Amino acid sequence: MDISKDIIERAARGEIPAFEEIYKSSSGFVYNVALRISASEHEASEITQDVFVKLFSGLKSFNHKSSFNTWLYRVAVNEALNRRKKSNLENSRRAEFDESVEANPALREDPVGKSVNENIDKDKVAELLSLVNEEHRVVLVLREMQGLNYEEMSRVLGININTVRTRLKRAREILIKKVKENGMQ
Amino acid sequence: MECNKARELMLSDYMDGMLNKETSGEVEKHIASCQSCAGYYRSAVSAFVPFRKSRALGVPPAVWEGIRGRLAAVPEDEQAFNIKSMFEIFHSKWANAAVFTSMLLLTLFAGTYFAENMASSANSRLRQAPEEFASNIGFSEFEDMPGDQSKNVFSIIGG
Ligand SMILES: [Zn+2]
Repeated sequence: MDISKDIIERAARGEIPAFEEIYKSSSGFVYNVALRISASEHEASEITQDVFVKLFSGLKSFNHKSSFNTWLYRVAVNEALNRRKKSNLENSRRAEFDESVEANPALREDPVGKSVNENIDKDKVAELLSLVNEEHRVVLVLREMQGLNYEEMSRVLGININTVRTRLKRAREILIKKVKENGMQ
Repeated sequence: MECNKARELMLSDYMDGMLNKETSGEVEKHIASCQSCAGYYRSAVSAFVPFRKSRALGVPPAVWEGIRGRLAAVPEDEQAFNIKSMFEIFHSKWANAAVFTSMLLLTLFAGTYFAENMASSANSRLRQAPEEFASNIGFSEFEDMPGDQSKNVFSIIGG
């Protein structure tokens, strides 16, 4: 269910109770989308916080032209992808650091940060999603888990419906192939 | 229907229930008659079972607490305060009256200030004038000068 214009306007004026109402009705999907894209409960919590903190100051620019949830999905997906990009960058830096630690025993005393993926969900869906790339993971999450239709996905992702269809078909194709290859069936 | 077309539809519109009766009937007819595609369809369906079974996780309560804390830390001007809400403050009747009164007082004050300033600068010009006149113009012309100073000048020159 979409949030009423009145609640959005009140929250845009800085009314915390109105903002909390928005949070209560939409934090669930923001968190779950973030969780499935990031594959980490810790990351999902941080992404959800970032999304809502940004939302609080960005609410006044919401023009009611698109559905509020569509808009929120878009912010959540982008935030999750941006975080992944950052994490991947950090991971590759960490890998470089690990290599340098290997090469230089004097550095071994330094604490090496824990991998951001340490909290990866151990469930079957997380396992399946880990088999595909980010672009495909996003369409699978939005379609298979959030139940968005092609048109909604097109609006969330800012791509045309045909691209949604093609991307989703490709994502499923790859997933089926990888499931077979990994003997997961 | 060809295998390629059947599989393409199987993994998109057919799976998502977006085909019309006629086309979805064609896909089903193909699956029924093609062993390879029937096997493919079964693996497709079973691959996505976990997605359909999975439940959404609840958001940890610490998330809202974190947001609340961060909102409190956001500086006032970055919070959801905007020009519109500022105008809404001024929409009240009393606020409008206050704005009108202060503008009126400002105008009156400015008017008085300028009037006084003009007068005093005019006076200072007059105060300097006799000496300049005395050195630059003829004696007889001072007869028309108003005020005490012209008399003084007269008396100095005359004395
Ligand atoms: Zn076939």
